[in-house]
Amino acid sequence: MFSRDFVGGLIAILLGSLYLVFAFRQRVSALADTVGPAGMPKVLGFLMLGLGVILCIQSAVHAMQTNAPGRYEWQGEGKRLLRALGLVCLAVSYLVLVAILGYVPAITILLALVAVYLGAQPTWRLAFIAGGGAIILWAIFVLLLDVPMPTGIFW
Amino acid sequence: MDSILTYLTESIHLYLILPALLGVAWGIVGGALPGISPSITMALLLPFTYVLEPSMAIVLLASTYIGAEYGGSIPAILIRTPGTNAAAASVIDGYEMNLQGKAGLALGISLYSGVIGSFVGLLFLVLLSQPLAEMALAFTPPAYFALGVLGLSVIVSLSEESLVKGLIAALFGLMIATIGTDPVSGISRFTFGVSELLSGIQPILIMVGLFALSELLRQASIIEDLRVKATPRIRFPDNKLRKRLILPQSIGALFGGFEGVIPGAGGTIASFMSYNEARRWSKAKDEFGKGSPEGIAAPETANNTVAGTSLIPLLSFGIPGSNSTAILLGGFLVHGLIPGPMLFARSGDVISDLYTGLFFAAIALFFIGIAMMPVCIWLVNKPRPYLNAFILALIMSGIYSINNSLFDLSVMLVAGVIGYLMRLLKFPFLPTILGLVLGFMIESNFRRSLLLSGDDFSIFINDRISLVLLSIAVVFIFGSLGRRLIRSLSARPGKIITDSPAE
Repeated sequence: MFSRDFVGGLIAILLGSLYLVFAFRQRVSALADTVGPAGMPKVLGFLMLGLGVILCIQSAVHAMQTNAPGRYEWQGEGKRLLRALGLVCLAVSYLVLVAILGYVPAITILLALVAVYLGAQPTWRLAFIAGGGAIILWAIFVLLLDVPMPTGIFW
Repeated sequence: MDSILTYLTESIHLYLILPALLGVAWGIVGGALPGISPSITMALLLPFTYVLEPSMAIVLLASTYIGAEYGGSIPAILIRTPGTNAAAASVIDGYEMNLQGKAGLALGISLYSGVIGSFVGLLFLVLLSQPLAEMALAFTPPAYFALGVLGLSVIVSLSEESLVKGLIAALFGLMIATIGTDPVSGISRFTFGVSELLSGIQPILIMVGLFALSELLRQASIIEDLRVKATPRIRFPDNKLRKRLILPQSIGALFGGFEGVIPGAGGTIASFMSYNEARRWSKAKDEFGKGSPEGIAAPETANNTVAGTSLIPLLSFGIPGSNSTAILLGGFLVHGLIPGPMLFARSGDVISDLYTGLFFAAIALFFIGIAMMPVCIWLVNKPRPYLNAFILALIMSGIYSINNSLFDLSVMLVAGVIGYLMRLLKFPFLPTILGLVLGFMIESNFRRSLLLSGDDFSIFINDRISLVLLSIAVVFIFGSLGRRLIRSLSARPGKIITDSPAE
């Protein structure tokens, strides 16, 4: 199994390569200076690529020297990653819901779902806290700060 | 009556008292919650500052920083879990005092030392910021480029674990800074036809995503149960003890003053160094580690002094030396204020308001610190699911309110996921933020300099300020590399100071 540093290095190589592809495709104006709009991106891309390679090599050398299998580094991380991903999904679903239902219903649902996801019991108390929390946030943003929150498609 | 109110408002800056009070109160609460660092506490407030006057916004954020530095010591003393990294040194003797039934006195010493540290930090800030900024008024494009390079050189000392990782993180920030419109030719770059990207990505979205959202994602993936068993009342040291604390507090103030000015050093190093020195100079060395009041006074004075002095490089040169000052920089940028040489000339009123606000905050820390104790203990004991759900809702609402844009929320969510992955792979955040905020300055001034000199690179050497700044950057880089080398050569097991990737 790859170590964290090795994975980090691979991601840097991938990111640097992708960035370089777009940097080389960058349109250049006739009015541009010698460096041009693609000058700095090209330097950054090559540096990222180079540092990614260095990190991978460092990690591989370290693994060979210490003879430590990298798999222990990742023990339990899969579950943790999935839990975090679940919270991201809830946040993304809020983006969809707020455009359809409007701010107060969407934020109530977000508060309730996130609390349940993080371990709260789905009781009337939770519904009361989620509803109350949504009203407090609505009062702060809409009444106090005068922010035009989304009203949804039904209102 | 109206004229009296107007006079009072203008002469005693009443409009700064409220943000100072609110900032300190919010900071204490945030600092007291383990996992919520000062920078996250500040990042949560950042969207709200949009609707405030610039002075009020900056005072609110800076006061939050002061409050959070004290707040971190509350769980450190009560549940052996530092609320902030800088409070880690206070665990050693603070928790021992708690076990001896002296939790109230430990909290009192922490608050008393924190207030002293805040005043000392403010004094350093007032005395040093303006002279440094005046010096920087003579800056030309090559000098601004060199200043940006100097700012980036901080990365070497920030990348405690791996320099390569720090550099990769900084490059990532620089890459984000290239998104938008090219500063010289006006052509769009990396926008992929998305009109919202033409003006670039606002640093605030990245900061909130990296710091606050990624922390929520991390907390969602672990289960912690931290409870305070009793509710102690704060007890302040008597005259005899106050005299005994003068030396450790002076040591803390000195280290806090020195470390705060150096970008990248920060409160954690200052706290541990002052703890070690306070022990070295103490008449009761044996008490250290067993519940020594001096062991709390030194680090708490140091980290609150840092809250003031770390603003010096930010205000004078526009270089944020820590996560918290990076968020404060975001607060300045939100209001179109650019910290650095021109800030004192163009927005001197904001600076003087910041000083006044910090003065109020230092006083407020004493009273609010006493009043907020039961609230903090109540919050530390609250079930995490409700608290974290509310924080997520607050972030989502706050980010939307900046531009009334769902696109901003998407960017912040992506930044949060990236932040989580960076935590997972142990990449530091601050280099990314430095790259993001300094990228535009470095690129635009580099290219302007070459336009001015007809593509002659010697302009960066011929310009005296540029030469000095580049030389300092080189000294800083090699100095940090040298220290790193010496440390690795004399590395021993059981190192005390450990910084999380987020701080």
